[in-house]
Amino acid sequence: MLNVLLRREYLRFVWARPSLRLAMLALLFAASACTTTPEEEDAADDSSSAELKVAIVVSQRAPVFDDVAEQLQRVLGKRAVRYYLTGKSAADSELARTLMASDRQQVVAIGLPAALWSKQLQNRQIVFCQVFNYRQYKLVSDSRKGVSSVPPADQLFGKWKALSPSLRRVVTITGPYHKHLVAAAKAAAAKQGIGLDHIVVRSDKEFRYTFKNRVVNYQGVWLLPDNRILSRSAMHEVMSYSVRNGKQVAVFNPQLLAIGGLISAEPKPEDVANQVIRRLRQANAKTGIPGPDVTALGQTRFQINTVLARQLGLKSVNTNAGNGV
Amino acid sequence: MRLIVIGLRTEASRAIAAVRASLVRLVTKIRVSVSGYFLSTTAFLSRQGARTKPRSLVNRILYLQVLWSVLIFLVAVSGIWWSTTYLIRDNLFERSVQWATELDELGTPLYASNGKLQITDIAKRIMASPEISYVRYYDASGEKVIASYHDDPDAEAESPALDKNQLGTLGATDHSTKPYFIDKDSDPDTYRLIAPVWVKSIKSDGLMGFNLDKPGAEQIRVIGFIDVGLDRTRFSRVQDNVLIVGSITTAIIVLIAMFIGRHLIMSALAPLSRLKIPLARLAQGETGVEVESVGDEEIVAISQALNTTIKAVNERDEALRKIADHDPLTGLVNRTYFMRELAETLDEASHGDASSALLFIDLDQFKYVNDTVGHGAGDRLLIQVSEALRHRARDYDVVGRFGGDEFVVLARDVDQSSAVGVARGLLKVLQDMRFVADGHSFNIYCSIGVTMIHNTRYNVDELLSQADMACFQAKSRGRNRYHMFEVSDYDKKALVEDIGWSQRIRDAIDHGEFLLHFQPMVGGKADDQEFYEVLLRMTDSEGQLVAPSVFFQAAERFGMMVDVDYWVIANSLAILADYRRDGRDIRFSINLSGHVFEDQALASKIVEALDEHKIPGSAVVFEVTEQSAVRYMDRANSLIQSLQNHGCQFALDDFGTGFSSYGYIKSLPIDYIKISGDFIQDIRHDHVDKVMVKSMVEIAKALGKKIVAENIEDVETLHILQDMGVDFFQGYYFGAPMETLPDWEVSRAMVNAKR
Repeated sequence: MLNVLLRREYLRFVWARPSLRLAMLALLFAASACTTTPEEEDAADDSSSAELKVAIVVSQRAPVFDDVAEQLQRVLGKRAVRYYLTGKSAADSELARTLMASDRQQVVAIGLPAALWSKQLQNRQIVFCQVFNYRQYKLVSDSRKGVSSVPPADQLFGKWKALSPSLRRVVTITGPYHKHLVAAAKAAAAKQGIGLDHIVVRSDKEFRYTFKNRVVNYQGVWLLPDNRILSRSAMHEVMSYSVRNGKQVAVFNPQLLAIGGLISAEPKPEDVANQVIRRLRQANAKTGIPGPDVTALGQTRFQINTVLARQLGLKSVNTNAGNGV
Repeated sequence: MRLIVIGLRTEASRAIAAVRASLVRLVTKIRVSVSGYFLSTTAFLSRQGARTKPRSLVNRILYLQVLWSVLIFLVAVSGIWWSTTYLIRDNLFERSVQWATELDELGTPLYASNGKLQITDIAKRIMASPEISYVRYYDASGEKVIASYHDDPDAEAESPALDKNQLGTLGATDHSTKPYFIDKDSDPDTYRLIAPVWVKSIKSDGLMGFNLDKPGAEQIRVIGFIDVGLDRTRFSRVQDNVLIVGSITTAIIVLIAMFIGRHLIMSALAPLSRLKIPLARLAQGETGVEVESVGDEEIVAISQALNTTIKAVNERDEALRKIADHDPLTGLVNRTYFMRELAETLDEASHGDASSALLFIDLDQFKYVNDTVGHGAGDRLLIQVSEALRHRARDYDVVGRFGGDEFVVLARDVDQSSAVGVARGLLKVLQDMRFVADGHSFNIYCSIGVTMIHNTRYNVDELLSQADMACFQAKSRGRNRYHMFEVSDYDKKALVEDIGWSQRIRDAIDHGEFLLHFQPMVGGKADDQEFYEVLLRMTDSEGQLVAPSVFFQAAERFGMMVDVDYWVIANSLAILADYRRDGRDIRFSINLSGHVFEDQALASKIVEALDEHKIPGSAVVFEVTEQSAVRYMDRANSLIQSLQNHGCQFALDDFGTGFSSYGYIKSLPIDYIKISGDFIQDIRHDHVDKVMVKSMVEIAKALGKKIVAENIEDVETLHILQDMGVDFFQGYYFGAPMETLPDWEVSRAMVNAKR
């Protein structure tokens, strides 16, 4: 509703009429009184989960995981303890036993290996993050929910549209089990006047073939980090194909801008952490973790390949993250 | 005086004859040796040719060029074959990999649909590439073909399963690079490439934190196999075409290069080939060739060297001809050349009415000048006279020197009165001439004998004899004048006689008709070895023995003295060798005329003859007259020293008759002095002769020479000479010269008989 109220056209209409202006101000005041900041919510939640201890289990030492762990610890403070998986089943199993023996009821599993490892934990509330193919591995359960690893599609398509106003047809190629993600993305794209199509493939071979044979009618490709259908050679090949054929590719990692990506959109670690903490706060030992399988992220870090943008004749856009490539 | 004149003339003739003979021999020798060299070279080459024909350098180079061209062609063709095979094989592999990759991609939907789809793109691709025979897509097991495409739609699709060996090869890799299985052998017409069909994926959500620079783990899964068959015959045809075209092109290029090279080589070697002709002509003795000096540096160098050599040979020939035809002292033509010119003029006279004149010039008192200021000054006088005569004569006249102080002039195309004018002119020239030497001034006069040449009634020898007689007449009538020859009875008889002796002497030389007589020269010591003087004799037309004084004049006049000398030397040594082989230790004393000094090769010829007969030099004494020795002082010295080095000894004959200064005697390295018989004959009665002989003996002893006294006819003379200290005695007292050696013991007994 706030979005509706804050729409530019509506605001102009309302502000033109003094009576309506007054009404809107009153409404806004009331709304502010009702909403709470994440911190206030946190504070409210804190009171319910203040004594819960959290184990942060990180798949491996990698910035993509460590940054999130850092953010979590910053917020959770002493309540959180960080663990790293070794990749060795004995040690990791021992860790599981240790946690089971401990009083840490909540576990944050960062990365797929940690999420998979968390399956051996019983009676725990587990929130996973930085996992793309969670459905593939059947990670979701009552007590195990996740935070999306993909930044908000509406922000991506909004940015993309601003960069390329003529963008109307985009395709995304993924493996199976991403209908929900893509459906949400389609809606977000539609709001920007972009038609998003989804093609499901099962291997990098199919991905490569599909990219070369079916992307011809699309202006852009939204590349998602589905490891099942991507290989390094395939990524190089399709990025090269994109450049040669003037396709705009939105990528999930800024490094892919160097090989032909136009715009990269990646989650911010603090946002991921906040979403994780929110879910932890919502978690209950009896009811598990309420809410959707994975919650959406709220922020996006963008980077734009200005060189490619110029080549494609796109508007140069000031990015609010990074300097572009 | 007449005798002196005759003697001088004789000596001069001998000298001239000797020079002429030696020059002729020298020139002949050179020509023989040069011709012999060329002929031997030609003969050698011919002999070589008879065995194996000499190879032509040009042909050899061309042959090598052909060989080299063939070698290059073979190497080039080998290179083409190898590179073509290698490139095609390499290309085939790369193309097959490319096609396999492309067909692999095209076949993606097959694996997506598990073979339920038929991909027309694949069929189109195969049709568009005739090199591709077929492509087969296998499932992951390699046993089942999920799709198959052939370029020939009617061809039965054989779909053999992949065998374990192939699957093992394709599977046993580290997946860093895609493996390929190449089958070239099972089907000769098909190049078969089998590759796995892979799908790759990043391991377990590895795209989280994806790092482009750090390769992350990927997993590879084989979902099938692709079998691509290429038509090898097409590649073979291409290869064959390339090979054929390449070989033909290379062959054409090599042939063209060969022809061009042949042309260039022949062009470059042409100057060398052109040398053959002038060299062949040169080998034939033709020295008038000139070699073209054009072309490359080496050819030019060879040509120039050849031209230089030819020029040098020509110059040497010319010089030799000049030496052979000219008098070395004065540069005037010599007897040989003059006689040739005289014969030619006589021949011309026989064909026409033109007349010429032959003038024989003899210097008056030349001996006086020689004796007064020495033979060196005498030579200068002769040169001066020669120049004067040459300047006075006309260009087409011939002026020659016959030796000594005898000159001849052939005045062409003159009648008698003009001939007289010529004679007078020559007289005047010499009359006006003064010769100065050593502070002495001499008037030089001459006597000229003139004879006309206007018909063929007389031959050259007769004409010469006429001129000589006319000269003699001029001298007889007081000298310093000319005398025109008149055919008087006396002249005719003397002329006929002279010519007769000339012929007999020639016959005696050619047929060995001379006689050698021997007269003992007995020494005073008891153990002196046998010693004989060799004396030349010949018989006259009536078979009577004739003394040399009778025929020597003719011999000198006709230039045969040198030949006579050599005949005497050769035969004397032969006889000496015979006696020595019989065990007799004999020495011979052999006379040499002054003419023989003109022969530079005299010493070597004598040494050669001594070696031939194995006679030690010490067994031979050579006698030269005092006059000859003084006249040819330097040559006599040289000859004497040269032969003394081989052990020969020398005696000065007719000592006392030449009015030579004793200084000459001192300088001559002689061993014996033979006192002239003129002084010995009357020694019993003529006190002056006795005193003169005594002084000669004392002088000779003082000079360390041995003395021989000739013409001893009685015992009193012998005793006188013995008392004087003479060493050897010779004369009729001991026996006349005989054809066989007399009894030596008798002669020696006569010398040693007690008084």
